[in-house]
Amino acid sequence: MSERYDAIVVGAGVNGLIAVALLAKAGLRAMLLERSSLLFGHAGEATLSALDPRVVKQLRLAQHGLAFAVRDLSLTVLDAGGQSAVIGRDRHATARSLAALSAADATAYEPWRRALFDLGRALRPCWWNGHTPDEIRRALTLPQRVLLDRLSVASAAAWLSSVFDSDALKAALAFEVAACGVAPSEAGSALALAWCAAQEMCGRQGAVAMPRGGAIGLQQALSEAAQKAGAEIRTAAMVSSLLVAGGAIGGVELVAGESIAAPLVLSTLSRRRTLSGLLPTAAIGIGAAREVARPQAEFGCATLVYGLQRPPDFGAFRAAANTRYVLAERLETFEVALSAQRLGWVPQEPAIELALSPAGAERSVLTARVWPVGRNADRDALTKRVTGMIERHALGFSALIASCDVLLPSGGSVSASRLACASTERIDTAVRGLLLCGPDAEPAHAVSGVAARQAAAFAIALHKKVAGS
Amino acid sequence: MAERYDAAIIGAGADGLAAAARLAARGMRVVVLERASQPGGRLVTRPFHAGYRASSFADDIAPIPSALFWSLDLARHGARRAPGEIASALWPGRAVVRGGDAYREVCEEARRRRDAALAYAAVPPSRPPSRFNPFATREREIWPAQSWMLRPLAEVVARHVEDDGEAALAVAAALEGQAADPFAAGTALHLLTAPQPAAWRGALGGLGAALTAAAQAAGAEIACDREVSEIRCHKGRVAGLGLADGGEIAAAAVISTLDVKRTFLSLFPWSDLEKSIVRQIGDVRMAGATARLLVALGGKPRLAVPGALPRGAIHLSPDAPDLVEAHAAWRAGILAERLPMAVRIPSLVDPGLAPQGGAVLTVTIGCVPHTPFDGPWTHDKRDVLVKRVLAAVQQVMPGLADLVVAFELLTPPDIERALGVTAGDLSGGAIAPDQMFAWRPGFRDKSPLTPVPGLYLAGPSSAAGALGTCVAGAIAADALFADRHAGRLP
Amino acid sequence: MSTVRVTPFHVRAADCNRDNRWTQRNRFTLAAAYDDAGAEAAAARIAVVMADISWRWRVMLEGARARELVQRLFTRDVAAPQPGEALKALWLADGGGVRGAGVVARYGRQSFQLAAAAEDAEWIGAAAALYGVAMRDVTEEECGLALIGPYAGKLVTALGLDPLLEPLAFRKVFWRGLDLTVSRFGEHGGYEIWCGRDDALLLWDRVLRAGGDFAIRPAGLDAQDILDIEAGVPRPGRDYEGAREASAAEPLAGELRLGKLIDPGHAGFNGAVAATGAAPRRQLVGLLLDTPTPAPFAPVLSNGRAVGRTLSSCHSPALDRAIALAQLDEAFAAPGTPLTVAVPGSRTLLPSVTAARVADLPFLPPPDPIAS
Repeated sequence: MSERYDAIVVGAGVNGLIAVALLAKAGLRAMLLERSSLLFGHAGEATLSALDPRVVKQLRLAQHGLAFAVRDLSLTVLDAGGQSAVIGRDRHATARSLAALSAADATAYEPWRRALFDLGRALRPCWWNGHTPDEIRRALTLPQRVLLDRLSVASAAAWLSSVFDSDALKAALAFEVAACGVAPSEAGSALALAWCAAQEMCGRQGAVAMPRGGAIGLQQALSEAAQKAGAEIRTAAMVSSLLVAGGAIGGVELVAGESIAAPLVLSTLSRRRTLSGLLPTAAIGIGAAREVARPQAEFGCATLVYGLQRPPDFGAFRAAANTRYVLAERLETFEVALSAQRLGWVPQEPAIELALSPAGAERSVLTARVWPVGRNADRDALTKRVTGMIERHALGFSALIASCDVLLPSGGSVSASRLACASTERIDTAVRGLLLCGPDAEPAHAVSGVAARQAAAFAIALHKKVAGS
Repeated sequence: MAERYDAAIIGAGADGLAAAARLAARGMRVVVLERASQPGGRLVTRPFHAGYRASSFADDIAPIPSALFWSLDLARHGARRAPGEIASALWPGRAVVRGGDAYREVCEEARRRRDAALAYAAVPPSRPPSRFNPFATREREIWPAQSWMLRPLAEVVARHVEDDGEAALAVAAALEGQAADPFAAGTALHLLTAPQPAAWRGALGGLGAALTAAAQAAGAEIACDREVSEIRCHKGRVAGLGLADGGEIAAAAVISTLDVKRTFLSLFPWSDLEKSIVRQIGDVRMAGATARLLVALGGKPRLAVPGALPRGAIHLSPDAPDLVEAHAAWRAGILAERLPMAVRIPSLVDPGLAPQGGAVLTVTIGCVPHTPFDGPWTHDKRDVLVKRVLAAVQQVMPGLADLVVAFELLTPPDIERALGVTAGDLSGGAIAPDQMFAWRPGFRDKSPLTPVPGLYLAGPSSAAGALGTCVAGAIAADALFADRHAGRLP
Repeated sequence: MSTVRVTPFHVRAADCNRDNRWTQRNRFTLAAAYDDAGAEAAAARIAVVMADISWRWRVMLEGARARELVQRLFTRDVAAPQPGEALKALWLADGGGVRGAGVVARYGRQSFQLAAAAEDAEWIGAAAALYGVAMRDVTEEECGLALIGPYAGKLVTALGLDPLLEPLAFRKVFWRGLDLTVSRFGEHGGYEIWCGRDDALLLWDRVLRAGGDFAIRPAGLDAQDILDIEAGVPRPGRDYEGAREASAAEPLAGELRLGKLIDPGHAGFNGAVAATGAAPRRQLVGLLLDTPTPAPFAPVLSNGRAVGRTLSSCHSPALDRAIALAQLDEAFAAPGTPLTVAVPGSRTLLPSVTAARVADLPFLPPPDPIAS
């Protein structure tokens, strides 16, 4: 039995839900196919920094139940000597706080941040709207161009070292880069800082927000919006292959044997899984197949979500509420951990960022983001290592743990040059009608929905063209 | 020695001698000050054992542009060059993998980009090339090395070379003597700075002697055994040099061929420089990872597999995962189990390097940490390194251990001591996209080559330094002469 | 029976000829380059190379009136040297044009051997018939290897032969069971070893084995041509055509830088009157081109006006540029004169104009064999 849909989205998750919701809203008959029987239940990102605000507005997620427990998490920097500083939205408070670490950094931080945010905002059209690079460059002022040139080739570590003195501050700022999936010591990774600065959450540039209900809260809101718009969502439907006819997509075939026809397919799986796993061999050229089959980086940022009986006591430093801590004391931590990862060992001291659920939430949840973690790392060993590291800062932590979910990094190549390439390269494929909108197609590894939005826009345009002709 | 010179050059290496020859040919009074007892810098061939000579620091160097070779008339001064043989790779038990057409294609691409980059470098860099656009999606190149700036080396090689063995050879040849992760972004730049195979009569010392002869024939004065301890300034301009033995040289301009850290942080009083400049120089990352083993053999080695001994570089088991591991180990200050090595037998090209019946074998080892994590290089650690290297070579050349008459090991600290290069880094700074081309040495808003009027930076740290031999010296000499002609020098 | 005329070393040459590149000279099939011509030519200046020179044309002139014959035929008194010595000389057509150049070696009172790069059997044979002298072609009887390079002398010593030999001298030796002639006739300062054709392979193997210590490699004809051009030696058939008509007055020896091979004091040689009277209008000079691509037989211009043409041209690895022999008008032949060469297009190259500079010949001094 083969029904006809206008578009099929493979894989739920934030990207899949956004894509199918936008497609349905535009009037297409859209269906979402999810492999597992639960629509959401796996651990997801508890902090969002890059969710596309246009998606939030377009889908009216606020009305569908998306609320933020914390709109703007500050960043707490922990020194090896026990000093701490809080970087928040208030300029003066930040400067006063940073003076405890280094007086020079306190004065250097604000101009640096302003220049970075300035550049990020100017570069947004390239990342969000797929503008051509030349247009973007022409629109930049000279200081912005100079800064862009520098960021494009420098590593985040080198650039931060040239601006700041305090090791802890450099490491804390470098974690943003690592969270994007790029090594801070890699050439060109400084651009990831500009990418982070370009994002907007809850109306504030560069903010990190915590949705109420965690990642599941976001997914629930999205699925409600999708269903309201008229999209069909089917769970327990695993796609086994894609049907191709004459260089264009014809539909999908499920493991159960059913085939569904559709001229447009958006896949949230990785590029490699989609092109070499789902497509028939003859669909893409041999050169493209070779490119896809090339070995890619095998590590990224993992997320551990600890369900706790009660909030932990971070003893020595009593930081403000609604903040995130980076437990990396210097930039070398990143390098050493990366070397260990490359040598095949589990890093002794990975870089960790902690975010505690806000005071007053029904459950105490601690989210830890860990870098670098291999794609096929041993979950138990990782949990033990991270728990041990947190224990050093919060005595009695391990006794509080009620549950622990580990989300290992999803695949896809993570390289600094991905930030610099245009959106069409990431989303489009050689097969007409097949678009990628998963984490692979994003500029950086973060839940943003930008790729999903762009893919949906392409798909809608294609649909209109076919329908019109 | 007490008179006033038009130009004083610190360091009689390739750049120093080329600059001296160029300036003296234009009628200027030039003196070159060299700390060692003979000129040549990197370009020396020393007898390391009775009757056996070898070039100590490298066998192959970045190429000299033809125009420079002609204008210095090096052929007339005795330099004889043979086109080098293409590199090959050897795995134990497998036949020799020679560089083939695809590898030649990669080398040709690299040469084309290197030449274009040198053309850019010849223009005094006042700011990074303004058309460098990291967001370009098409291969249409505005700037010579643009699409290679952020690409990983392995990816670029894989684009051109199909065969796995040849691809591994290409990666190893580009990373000879360096420590880099071929899968990390920005490592494709190593293709531009890789040494080019060429054989000189008398090994590199023959080239050094020809350069010395050219400089002397032009009228430059070369003073050896003179160490410069200070660059003296007067009213914000360079006024002369102070020597370690107490002497003084008065000069209207100074060309320094030392790397940027040594020039500014060792020879300059810091208070004379702006804080931002000092900071910038301090941020320059050096990556010294080269070690050299010179072996004197009592007979010609033979390969385990049938075939003639290759005359070019032989890379031993250049597998990419080993390179990644070795790089990670180098970062951590550990000596990896399988180090990247390139073996050459220079006496196969120039029989004068070894006595009759003997042979000279040189090994260039990469990913050797400058300071091991557990302390400086001791005799034990050196022994471990030598044993590891000889064992690896023995795997492909059986019976080598019986032929060894003597050997000499040069670790990165030894190279640092001998040549005065910071951290033993012969390229004057890590090869990374933010430290190449116009980002070296980074004095963008000041006069072309340094922030201090009258001081010119040639040598490995300058923009052309890693791309060609003698070019940086020629560029600095031209800039100096232009300034003098325009009256900007006293 | 093979239709291809090969030298006795052919079997060994074929083994070493990696890319199977062959060429013809004097109707012999020889290796053009065993590996890379540039590398072989460079090796001749750094180590030592061995070249198969069995293709050189050699004739014996023996008879009661051989002395008279050679004194009449050649532009110098080649009967003056003692047996065991030789002289380089030209032979001219009646009108004074150069027919050929070669080395005349004195074997005995009335016995001479002429060795030349190009054959000229009719002319020499006809001259010999006039004097009743027998001309015997010995090209096929003997074969030879040339050892060129700074280590040629050491190699000769290592072989067990005496390296002390004057240039343009030769001697016969009995060496390890072989009858050899060792000579130093070549322009490149090396040694030549001649042996009977049956002993060829043995000689090749022994030389190669002894040369292993000196980084010996075989050199093909292309490398030999590069060495010739670097030495500034023009070759008949390659750079100029010898005179064919009996009354031809071209080419003039002075225009080929061969003037010193004519001895005006030697009276009575064929073409003497015309040769000594003619005034050369052009000169053979060397050109250094600002490009690595050779430009053979291309017009040479000065300010757009043609002032001569290049002869053979090659890429010189030692000088890292293309060089050429050229015949230019006298006024433009001073060393250092800047000129341009119009390189014609070919299937793979567009026509272009290259800057060039006149240089003194030889471009490079010949590699001096280090005497042990």
